[in-house]
Amino acid sequence: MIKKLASVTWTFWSLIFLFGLLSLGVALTFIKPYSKSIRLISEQLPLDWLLKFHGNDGVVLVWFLLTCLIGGVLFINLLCCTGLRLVAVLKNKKMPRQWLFIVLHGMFAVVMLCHGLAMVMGCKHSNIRLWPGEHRAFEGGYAVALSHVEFKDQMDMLKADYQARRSLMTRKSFHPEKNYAFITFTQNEELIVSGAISMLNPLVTNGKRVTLTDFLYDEAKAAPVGISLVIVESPLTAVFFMSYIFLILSLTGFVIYTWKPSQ
Amino acid sequence: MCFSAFEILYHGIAGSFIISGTAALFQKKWAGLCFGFLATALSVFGVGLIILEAGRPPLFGHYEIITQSVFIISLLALLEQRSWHRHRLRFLSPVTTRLWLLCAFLMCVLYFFPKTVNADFYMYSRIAVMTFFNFRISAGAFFLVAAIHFYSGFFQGGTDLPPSAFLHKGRNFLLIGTICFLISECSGSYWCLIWWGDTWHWSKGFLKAASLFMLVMLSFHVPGKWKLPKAFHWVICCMPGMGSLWLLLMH
Repeated sequence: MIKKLASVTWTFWSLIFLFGLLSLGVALTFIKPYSKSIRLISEQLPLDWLLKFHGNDGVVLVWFLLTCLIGGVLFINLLCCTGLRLVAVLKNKKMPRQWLFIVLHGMFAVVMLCHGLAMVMGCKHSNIRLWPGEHRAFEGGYAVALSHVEFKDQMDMLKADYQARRSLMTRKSFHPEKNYAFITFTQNEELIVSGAISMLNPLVTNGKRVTLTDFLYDEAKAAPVGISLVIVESPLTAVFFMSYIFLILSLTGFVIYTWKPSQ
Repeated sequence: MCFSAFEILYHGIAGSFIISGTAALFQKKWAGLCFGFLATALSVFGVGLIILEAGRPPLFGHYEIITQSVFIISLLALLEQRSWHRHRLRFLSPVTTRLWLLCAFLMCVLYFFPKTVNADFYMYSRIAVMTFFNFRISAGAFFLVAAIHFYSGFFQGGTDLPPSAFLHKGRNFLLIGTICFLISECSGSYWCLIWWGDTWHWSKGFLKAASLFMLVMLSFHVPGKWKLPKAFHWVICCMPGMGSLWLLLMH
């Protein structure tokens, strides 16, 4: 049974199906209602999205579940294949080429596992829109408060739509370090972290990450510049990047070692 | 009519590749080599001019992507001709010829797009963002070079070398492309982390990249025991190149 699960035929068909499903996902993002539903998956933990699913969009739900299922099949295939090869290498010749091959597949398994676990572990709160003086509370006793915003560049770029901003927010006209917000992040009224936060410079503490995703503009408010935040708790981020780097290194070693065709 | 430095360079590179590709097609060795060298040298200037003008490596937009791609492809075309020369073969390598023709095709496609650098989005100053875009372009170029090697393994263009000579090189370039692609994806995940707070997003860009990666893995996992027509293997192995060409041109 394990031999069957470890076969390259399984790998091939899993990859074909996964390619088909991911391409279907790309196609769905071109259709507005589906694109909106797919975007919703990223605004929270995928497990929370699944549990709170209201049945408005069955197509995206089926597509998401099938993608996860085939991803899971590929992962089991990868584990079985790597395990069998490992046993074979331990019994027979201990060639560096074989070891690199196993490490490379092992690291890929860790990357896949991190992707999978990141969908069910931790928490994610997106699209938290705050203006100075406002605060927001979440499940688990978490709360975030915004004391004030410093925006020193031209405010016209904040009034533009998302696409136009790309050409307006150039290196010359927008300076992330000059534009920041002061926030306080608490759990059950106990301070977790507080300080200045700017674009691409999140506040990070004990696996919790507060990220400023955008500056907002609303003329109706007393202080017109606000912020949009994302709060994420993800315990596997460091493991994910470490295994990714080892995957690249082991693949590089494998390429160097097998550069010349074996006789 | 006033041409910018980018437009002048574009016409120089495009013209040189069209001449070198056509000359190589008719086995005019010296004309092919001279214009091949000229085109490669001009594409080095093209990449240099982008760096000088934008203060960063080529990252985004058709002009930047195609200029960097033809620079890598034409450099590898010359290296291929060098190894061909070592075998004392007097004619031009079919791989070199096809790589020059590919460059000529890419430059013809670029004719329909603005010949200028992309707007300098403020995030482009970050190393992670530069690495993400630049290595993605490099990965695409290596996948295309690999596809041409695989194609040449099955359609050898009059040479009597064994197909394995081309196929092993194709496999090597596919692997180098995969390394570049993984470096790009790893830095892209870091960019996503500092921008959106997470390493993965269920969005068009991420799904496109993941589909391309499936194609790359597919080409390494064709079951050996299957007795399939050679054309099937060729199509599977060329798919990452075709996929990246589509991604580079339709972004």
